[in-house]
This record gives sequence, structure tokens and C-alpha cells, in this order.
Amino acid sequence: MKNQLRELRAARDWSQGELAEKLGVSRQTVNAIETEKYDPSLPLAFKIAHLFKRPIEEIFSADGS
Amino acid sequence: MTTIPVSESSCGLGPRAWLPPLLWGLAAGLSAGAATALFVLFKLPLPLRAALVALPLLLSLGYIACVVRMLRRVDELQRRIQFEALGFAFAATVIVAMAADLLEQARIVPVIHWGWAGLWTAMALLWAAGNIVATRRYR
Repeated sequence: MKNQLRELRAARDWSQGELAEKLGVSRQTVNAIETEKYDPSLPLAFKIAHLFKRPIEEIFSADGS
Repeated sequence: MTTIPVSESSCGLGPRAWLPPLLWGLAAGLSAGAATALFVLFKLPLPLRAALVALPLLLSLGYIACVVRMLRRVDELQRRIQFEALGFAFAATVIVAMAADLLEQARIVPVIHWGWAGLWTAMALLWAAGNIVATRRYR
């Protein structure tokens, strides 16, 4: 799955650690999502969408779409 | 579920997070070793023998409870890493035990009575190896 997490984080000038703290996860998790090595669970994806005030489909998209 | 981020190390959990399960595991292993030695050295009454059998089992339950508590504290990626490592350790231990038994039966290697201690040691080492592999995958 592709995502815009790195771009959204960079736009707010947050470090991975800061974003991790806001989401209640480890920095390793934020990094794994950004590098698309790990797809977050639905609750975490909603948490990310809520934090960035964007619809979930604007942040995450299937590889083919 | 509330998740509490923990400090990271190469294995995805802070070193301090491993201390309680390590201590429980050591206590269980040492008490089992001591019980075995006492059974060999002394002729003990039945209630004492039963207590010596129960002690390592109770400490092992503490160890398992400690690991479960640790897994509940970590976030979703770290939990996945631990489950992948545990799954790998479980399957690999079965294969290692089977290979060792077959090699012994075929008299390719001398017969060594590994016992439960050997099995637990193999599983712990393979868990650590699985941890390293799974952590690298998501790095």
C-alpha cells in the first residue's frame, strides 16, 4: 500500500519521533509505514487520518490505484 | 487498546523491557536445575518432591505471564515482530529437535539427552534469531 505520510509529516516539520509520540507508537513503526514496509492497522490508519485532518483514502492508496 | 511507546533497541524493545522475563526465565531454569540435583542427591519425602516439581512450573507460568504483559505493552509493529519471531522459533525448534533425534537414531551423531532444558535453550536462541531477522525486515 502506498501512503503520503512522509510528505504530510514533512509539511508540518515534525520528526518521526514527534509523529510517533502523537500516534502512540514507536519511531520504528512510523519509519516502517513511511518506507511502505509495513501497512498500519485500520485503527492506526484512522488515527493518522484524524491527526492530519484528511480522509483516509487521501493518505493511503492501494499499490495499483 | 492503549499503546505505550517504549524505547527502541535493535530488537524493537528497550533492553530494560527484557529484564523481567529474563529474570523469571532464569529463576525457573535454576529452580528446575536445583530440583533435579536434589532428586539425584537426596531421598526426599513425597510432599517436598511435589513442591520441588511445582516451583519451576509456577515460575515458568510467571515467565509466560511476563512475556504476555510485555507483548501487550508494545505497539502493533513491535507485536508483529515478536509474533513472527515466536512463530519462527516454534517451527524451527520442532525441526531442530526432529533433526537431532533422527541424527542420533541414525548414529551419525552420539546420543545426547537434550531434555527440556535443551529444548527451551534452542527455542530461546531461535526466538532471538527470529527477532533479529524480523526487526531487519521492517527497518
